[in-house]
Amino acid sequence: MAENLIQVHGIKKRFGTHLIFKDINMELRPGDSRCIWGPNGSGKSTLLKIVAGLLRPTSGSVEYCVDGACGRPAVFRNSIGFVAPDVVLYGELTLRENLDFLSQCRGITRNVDYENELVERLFPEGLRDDLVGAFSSGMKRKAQFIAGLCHKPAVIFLDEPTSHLDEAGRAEVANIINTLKNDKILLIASNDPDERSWCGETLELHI
Amino acid sequence: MTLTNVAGAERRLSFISKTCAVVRKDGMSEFRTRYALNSALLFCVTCVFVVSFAVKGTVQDTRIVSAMLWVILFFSAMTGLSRAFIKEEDQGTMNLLRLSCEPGPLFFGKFLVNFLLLLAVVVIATPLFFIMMNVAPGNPAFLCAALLPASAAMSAICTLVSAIIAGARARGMLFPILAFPVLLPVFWVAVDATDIAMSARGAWQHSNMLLFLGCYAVAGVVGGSFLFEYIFEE
Repeated sequence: MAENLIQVHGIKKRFGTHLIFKDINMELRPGDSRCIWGPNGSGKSTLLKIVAGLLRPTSGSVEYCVDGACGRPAVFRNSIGFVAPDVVLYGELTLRENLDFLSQCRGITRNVDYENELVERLFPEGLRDDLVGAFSSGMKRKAQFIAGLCHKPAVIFLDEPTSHLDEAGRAEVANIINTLKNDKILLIASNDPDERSWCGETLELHI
Repeated sequence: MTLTNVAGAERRLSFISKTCAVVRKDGMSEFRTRYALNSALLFCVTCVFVVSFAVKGTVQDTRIVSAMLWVILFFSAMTGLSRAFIKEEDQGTMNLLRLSCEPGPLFFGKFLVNFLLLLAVVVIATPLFFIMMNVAPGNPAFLCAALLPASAAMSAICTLVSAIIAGARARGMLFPILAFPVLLPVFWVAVDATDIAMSARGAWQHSNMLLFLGCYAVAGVVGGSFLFEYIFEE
């Protein structure tokens, strides 16, 4: 079976006349974990979104190769797990309803056992069927984690994954990521030294 | 059955189930918030009352009555249907959709939700309008046959325009400005068809108008779903 791969060639991003970054090249394979590190405004989240296919680069390209087929990130959306502050769940639905909707949109069968495992690990106190809109910011972040990981994606993107989480939540997220990263591609945008320590390599961005 | 046929059937089934997921999600969301339906209905009913009190039952010219009905429906559509994608952008759920939904089923699902919403407004507002104006359509079947494809065409165009302007700043102003030129042919023909429906006889001789509205609706949905793919991926 062909190995999964992400190739990033000469990415440049400009907002108006402001150049955010240029000449970003990466090749990521399963087991690779990289932290995008840099000060606020250096383009960490922007680069993460470009590699995930949520934003177009000004120039350069991103190509995914999954199970022998290659193409744009959008073609492989089912292989992507993205957890970020601006990937928000529906506040007027419960977490289960959100997961149900996402699995139907992805055209995959819900892995309820794995979902329950993630829920038990991240919500040890139990999870009532409240609307996501009624969750605290930390609970919302945990719910985003479950939604981003429940389809067992081959590629995981995390943008400041432990912000808003309490100590127990941070520890559990670290455990989950450390278990998953061995056979997946992991890309994290962060300013947190703890989150940086989860990754094998670092890509530093400068203003 | 060949393998190609099986793959094609699976793709169609997958398209339908993904579309249903979008409709169910938006339906559930609307049921819990009732924002779009309430705002479109309130606007529409208020307009009907304002117009009827303004003219005090003195307008009997069927052309003017038809035009007034469609002006009310047009602006009601502008109020309720613009939310299809603007709501996603405002809530921050657009990226979630980009990461999980294919553009085709998403557009079609959003179109269906908008169509059902507009139908609900039309079903309530149209009889109320005729009662308040003290006129009765001579051929209600022809009127219904015109309202249905015209509503579908309006829903398709409004869904696409909503996606185009979702990320813009002056969205409230942009929506009717962008939607109106594309909806103008529908508006013209729908007013003509409603005018014809007011007389009891000979309305079905003008069924080419219904055909036009139907074709415009199909073109809106098909063209919209192709264009939406480019809008959706940033």
